[in-house]
Amino acid sequence: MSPARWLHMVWRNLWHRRLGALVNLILLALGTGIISLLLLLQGQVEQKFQNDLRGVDLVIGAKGSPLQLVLSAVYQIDAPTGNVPIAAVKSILQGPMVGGAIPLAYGDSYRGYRIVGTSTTFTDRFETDLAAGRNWSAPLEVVLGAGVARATGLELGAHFHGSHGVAGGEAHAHHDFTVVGILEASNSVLDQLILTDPASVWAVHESAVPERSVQWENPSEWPDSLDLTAVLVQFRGRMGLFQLPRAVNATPGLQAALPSVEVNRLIGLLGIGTTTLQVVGAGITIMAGISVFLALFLRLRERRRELALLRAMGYHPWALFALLLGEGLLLAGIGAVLGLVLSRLGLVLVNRLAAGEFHWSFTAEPVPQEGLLVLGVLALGVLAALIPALMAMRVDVAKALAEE
Amino acid sequence: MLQTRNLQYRYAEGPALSFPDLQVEAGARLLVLGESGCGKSTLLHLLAGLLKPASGTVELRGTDLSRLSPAARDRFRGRHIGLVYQHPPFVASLSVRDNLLLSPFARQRKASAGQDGNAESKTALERLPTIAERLGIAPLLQRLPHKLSVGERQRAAIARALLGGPGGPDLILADEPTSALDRRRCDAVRELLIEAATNSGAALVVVTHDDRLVPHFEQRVELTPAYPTGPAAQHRAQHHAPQNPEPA
Repeated sequence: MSPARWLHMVWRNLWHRRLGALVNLILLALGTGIISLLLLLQGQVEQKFQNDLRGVDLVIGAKGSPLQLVLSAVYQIDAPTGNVPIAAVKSILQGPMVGGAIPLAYGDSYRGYRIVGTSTTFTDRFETDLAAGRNWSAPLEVVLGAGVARATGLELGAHFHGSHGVAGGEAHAHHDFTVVGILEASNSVLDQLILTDPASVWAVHESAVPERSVQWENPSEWPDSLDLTAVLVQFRGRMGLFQLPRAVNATPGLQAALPSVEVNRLIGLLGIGTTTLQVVGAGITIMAGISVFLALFLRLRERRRELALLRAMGYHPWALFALLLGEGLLLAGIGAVLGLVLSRLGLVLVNRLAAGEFHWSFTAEPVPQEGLLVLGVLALGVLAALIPALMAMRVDVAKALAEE
Repeated sequence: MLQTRNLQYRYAEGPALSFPDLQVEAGARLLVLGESGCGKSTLLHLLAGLLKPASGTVELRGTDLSRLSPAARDRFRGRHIGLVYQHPPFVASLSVRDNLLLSPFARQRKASAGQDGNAESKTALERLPTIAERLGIAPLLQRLPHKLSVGERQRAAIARALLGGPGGPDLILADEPTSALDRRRCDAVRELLIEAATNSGAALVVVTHDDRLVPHFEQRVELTPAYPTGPAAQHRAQHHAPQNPEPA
């Protein structure tokens, strides 16, 4: 029997019992799809967390949840814990263990995109250049992340008003921001931010704006009279990890959060949910395997004469084995492909939700583990068909043909 | 063409069966008669190489089937023997056409291999329209087997038997091909079988308890109900010319 004829017969057999095969396929696709989607998301979420963490060893902010502080200051996906007076952090930041400090003043937004007052070194962490225009040099000048520019349609020279909070609160109608630059896409949190000088944030909130231009790269230059929402700190050496958090936490009203610790804890928490869903996906896939086995096994009896006929027509017992095994394999193959398609459709849905909530987007690029997943599903198909295939080889030809 | 010697078969339970020696030449017709349970179908399966005899030999074209390996026996059967059953089995998922070509397709290899099986399936494909036309099933080739009537299934089974082997089978074995049919259908199937065998030059062996076929076969063997083997073994083999033969 030629491979093409084998495939034809396998396909015709599946098509002949298409309703049962459809149930098998739905289960296979569902199980594979859930696992595949989790693999896609897990890898990208972890990568995204690590990417956005670049150059940040410590976050200083107001007392509260350290995880909330990290999520709001580094990933811009949570509410800030409060403000900290510059006077309180300045002495710490001028210490020998601090390699660099980036001020953050935030709390406003434009169409859901956060406006962050910071220094121009903020973008250096992401090794991203301007795609157009220049950096801000005066209050109320802003640079847009690539995602913001694309979503809002704002161009160089455009003016807009910010709103209080991130959920479209009261508009700050008396203060016009002007777009002076647009950043290249960096596939990081930067793409979703509107960057400006911290003085812009104070101006909008009608705080006292420093009269002179501030060198934000140097903490000693920071004006004592104002507040920041958080400060991103880079250690000069390893000792910073042991001494700086202690020093910060000893200061009234301040807390230090180690992003790597908080992120690992968060990924750990997410991991419990991910593992649970993976177990559910694996369970559905195994059930699919059992359903394939049952379908082939239960049909063996009604197919006895067919199988005997094939033997009588000159088909080798191994040809019958290959036919049954082929049915399991083809079902598993189609199920795996459908599962991968399903995971991509799921990703579109997740992207819609994540775009609305966090301005995140995930790519459908295959991950290596998906190859292993497909191989696993194919192996399951073979395993499910193995016993029926072996039984098909042992059919009593004369007895089966004598049956009516 | 077909020759058996001292053929015996033993089921796991029940008495062993012994069969008369048979000799059927190419183009000849042998009718094996007997009541239910006397071993007619067992004999047919022994002749087809589907059962292995406890003792004795079945030779077709000088080849002793019991000396072949199971795989070689399957191939040999596919190339040289056509089988027709009272209730012919079909692969339900395949079209009538694909069912008719099961045997040549079994030996088909990859297109590039250039083996005999490919030439055989090519020949079978060429012969298919003629045979299907002659048996009146040409319009039914694309249908699924369950859509066929009883008569159409019988004719399709005969067509399938004729398509085995490079130029048709050397031996056609039919098991109760007419027993469940009324007189008119019985005549039609009998005529088709005899005509098919005559045209292809194949030997025809029919096992049946249907006495209506008797006048149309020049060779007849009547099996008696199963007897133990050994000295008490009995069977009655009668070889004689048909009485009141009708045109085939």
